[in-house]
Amino acid sequence: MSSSTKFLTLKTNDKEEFVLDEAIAIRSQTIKNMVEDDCVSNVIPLPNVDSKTMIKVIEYWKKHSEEGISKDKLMDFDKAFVKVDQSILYALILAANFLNDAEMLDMICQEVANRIKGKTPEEIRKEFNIENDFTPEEEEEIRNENVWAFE
Amino acid sequence: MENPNNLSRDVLFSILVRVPVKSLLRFRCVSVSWNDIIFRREFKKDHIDQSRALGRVMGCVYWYKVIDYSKNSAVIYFDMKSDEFKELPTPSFVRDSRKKYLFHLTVSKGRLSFYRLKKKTGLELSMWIMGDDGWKLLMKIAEVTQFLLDKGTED
Repeated sequence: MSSSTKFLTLKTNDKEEFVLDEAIAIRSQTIKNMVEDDCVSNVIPLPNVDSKTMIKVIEYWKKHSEEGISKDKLMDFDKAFVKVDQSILYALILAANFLNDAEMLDMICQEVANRIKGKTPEEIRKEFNIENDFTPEEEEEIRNENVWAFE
Repeated sequence: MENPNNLSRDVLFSILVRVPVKSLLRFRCVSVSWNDIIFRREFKKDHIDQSRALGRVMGCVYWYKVIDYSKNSAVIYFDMKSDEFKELPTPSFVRDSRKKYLFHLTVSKGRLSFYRLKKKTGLELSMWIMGDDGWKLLMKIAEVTQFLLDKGTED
């Protein structure tokens, strides 16, 4: 690395600090905006991200910043990257959303979409902890409109 | 952070635009807010963009569905490989001239095609074919014989 490399310190909500090359950290639009607006002091606090999630995010950023890495290798990396528990995946979505990394957010949303597409409404409610707030009549009406979607 | 309940509407939106149409219709009855998101105008637009990005011309079964003659129509297709229903954006030539013409979806030269007949008189036939970079006008016949018209209404 050249001597001009700048480093940023990121602090997660559980008080862990991560020192990262600025060129890598600005994959986050949120951090990039802060750097460009010159409002970066010594430490950038990330109130919405915990350290466990940040480790994964940095792993992703570093791999995607590697020079000369092939598309195939990145695809393999991405595939393996999203093979995690539901809870980690959702934490990653929230982190990618807060850090405003569109590429990473896209990839994880696609993974969630793949995981939920075959599910029934009941399974979805359970998975997302959603209360069914339709009246039985309303729900029946929507079901009747889309009978073929339930076959 | 274990409770995915706090996924924002924006994030949920980003997930749902990547879900196939058939699943979406089923997910309408998850809750009132899911139904709202799925039926929002921006959602439909975004979802169609995603479908187009993922769609293939071959290996699919297509329908041209007129939902409402004055407003809506859509090309819906079933992808045999992924076992999913999807939707194509309505071509602009269909959108702009639906009131005066009848449209039929067909296949010619192994490609998805549209042909258009003037309502009532039927004295005009135009045909569009799906090329590698979108729809292309293939031909236009000003006077159509009764024979062609009969053929055209078969399906």
